[in-house]
Amino acid sequence: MLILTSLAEGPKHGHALAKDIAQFAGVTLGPGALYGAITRLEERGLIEALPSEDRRRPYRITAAGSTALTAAVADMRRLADVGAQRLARSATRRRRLA
Amino acid sequence: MTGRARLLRCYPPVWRERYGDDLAAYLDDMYAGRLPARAAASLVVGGLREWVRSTRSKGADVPAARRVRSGVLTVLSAWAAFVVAGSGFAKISEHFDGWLSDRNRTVADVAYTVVQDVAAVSGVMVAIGLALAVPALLRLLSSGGWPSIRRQVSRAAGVTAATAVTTVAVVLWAHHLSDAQRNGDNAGYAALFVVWAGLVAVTVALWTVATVATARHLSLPRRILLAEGALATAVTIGMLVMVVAAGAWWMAMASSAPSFFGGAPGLARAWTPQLLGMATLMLAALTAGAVGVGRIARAVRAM
Repeated sequence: MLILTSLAEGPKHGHALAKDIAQFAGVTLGPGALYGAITRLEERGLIEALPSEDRRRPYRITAAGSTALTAAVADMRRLADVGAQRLARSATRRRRLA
Repeated sequence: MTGRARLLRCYPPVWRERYGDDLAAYLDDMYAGRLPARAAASLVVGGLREWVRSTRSKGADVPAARRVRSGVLTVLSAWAAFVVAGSGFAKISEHFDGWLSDRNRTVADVAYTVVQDVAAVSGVMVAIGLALAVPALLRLLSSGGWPSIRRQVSRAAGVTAATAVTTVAVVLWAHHLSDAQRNGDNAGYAALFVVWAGLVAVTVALWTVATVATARHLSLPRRILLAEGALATAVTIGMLVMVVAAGAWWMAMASSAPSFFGGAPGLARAWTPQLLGMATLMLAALTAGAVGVGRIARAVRAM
């Protein structure tokens, strides 16, 4: 999800991906975790490698990856909406009781 | 080879071919100078995970029947290692009951009896498993399969003959020695005993290798494979029970008669290098057995 979100902005190689994820999510991925996730996403066809620049290989999100990210974002939005509504109702109840 | 290159070798060659350069460049970009321990640990874990995945994906291409057989043979090999460890346990625990009073012997006695009884039952199950494969072995031999297993079987038989001769020598010598001489006071006998124990371990190992090599040439019907899988699972459960019982025996002895191990009182000191080696081998065998059972379970679902 983090990698797909980062690549939704445009192709990036490993270092740029890790820096971007640390910036927007505050998550520092270890090299093993990052490349494990890249391997899995590439195998599932959600991202693809572009020709190497020097030794660095940029990755970009595929159409299937964009669809998967769109679905995941919609799920998270639904969850966030439900959470926000319930919190608002609970705050209203507390105000009435007070 | 640099530390980084060594860490990259934690990954399977196929994976390194695909991502190795990219990961090496990432490490150079991300960590100038010394690689932090956390990043190194992440690479080791990531590499192991890729090995496991590559093994699984290779396994998926192998027919389920062959994977069941491979799982059974893993358990058989684990059981052979367990037998060697168990023989060490039998030697270490010799005459332990003489060190306990009637008041504090129950746990150690029960645990030891459990180890003995489960070992006997496991041995019977292994024998049944081997017996079930005899018709397939006869078919292999009658169809001219002997040359394919001759080398492994001949080697095992040769070492067995040497072990038998050494056993006779050990027994004859032991009859002329006192208890103290048999338990370390006679350096010559102690040396021969170590040689004999080594030969027994090598004999067990070579027969296991011969059995595995033979089994790879056998064509086993589905029902026999399923029975072998069930027996292998039961043997692994037996190993688990024996490990737990041996641990209970050790704890009972360490708390009731710590001097039995020659150390000062206290659980932390109630061990010897032999005991530690035996326990490590038992746990390694149990782990290998569990891996074999996992492989059997996954393959049986696919059959």
